[in-house]
Amino acid sequence: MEQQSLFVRALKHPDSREEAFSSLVSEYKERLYWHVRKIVIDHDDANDVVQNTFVKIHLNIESFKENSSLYTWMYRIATNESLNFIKTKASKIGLKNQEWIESLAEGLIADSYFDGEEADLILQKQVAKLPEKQRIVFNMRYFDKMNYESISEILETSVGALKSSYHHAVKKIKIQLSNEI
Amino acid sequence: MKYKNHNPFMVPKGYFNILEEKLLKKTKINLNANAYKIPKNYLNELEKEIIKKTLKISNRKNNTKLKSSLLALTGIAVSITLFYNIFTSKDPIIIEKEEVFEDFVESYYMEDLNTYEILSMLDENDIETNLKYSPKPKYEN
Repeated sequence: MEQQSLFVRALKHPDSREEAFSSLVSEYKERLYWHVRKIVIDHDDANDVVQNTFVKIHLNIESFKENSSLYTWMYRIATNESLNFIKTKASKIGLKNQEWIESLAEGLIADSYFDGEEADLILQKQVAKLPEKQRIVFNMRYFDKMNYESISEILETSVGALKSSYHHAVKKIKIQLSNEI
Repeated sequence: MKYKNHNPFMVPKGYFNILEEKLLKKTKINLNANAYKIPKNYLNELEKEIIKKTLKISNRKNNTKLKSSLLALTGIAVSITLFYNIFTSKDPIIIEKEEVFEDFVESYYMEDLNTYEILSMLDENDIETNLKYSPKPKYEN
């Protein structure tokens, strides 16, 4: 924690900011990219969102109060950015968020940046059918193997609610998968 | 339950739990090996792009600060000059009567006043009440 404080101080100080920010990008770019990619699905969209996320982090680092870990704070920004992105993009085309995500998952088969097998494709399509929050919780818990406490901090939701969300998501996917086969 | 009632086919006990486990295990392995792909060298390019963007923002921020400081300084300078000119000027401004009249005439043409408006500006004394007119000329045969 003390190490983080020193690092945050370096990020906040004008003289050391650029160097500290560069190492922050180097450290977290991949993790944040994959987190965002699983939410927005498309690579180009994920690229836009992850860049906006880091720009926001850079702009708002002075307002970071250290009530949570830097990592949690960044994940929260990335999650919000992803959800806002989906909202904007879907409304531009006149679709609901969920419809937009489902259409992206349907198109994964033709996506040059997706080379999963049929089972991957089926699972992704089923995950896309989940309500937004359940989908994020499922991604974080199932694919990223994050513990409930971390997810709870990032999404600012109680552990109990998250467990219930994940349980419902798994149950739905289970039913949908059994219907698919 | 409804589906079960109308479904003549049966599966071994606990089949769907095993199936789920098998499927999830399979997809987990595949997805951990990353079914989603990214372009070659993308992450390095991403880092460069982010640094470039944030540097641009920092420079813009600094320029804005400099601009607002310059603007404030200019404002102060203008205020001082105005203050000095207004309160330290010793020669009072004298306006000649003729100048005022000329201004009036000028504004008459500029503002395009009509006769009634001009009339309303005049005092009652200025208006002649006895109209002088020439009688009709007489034509001789």
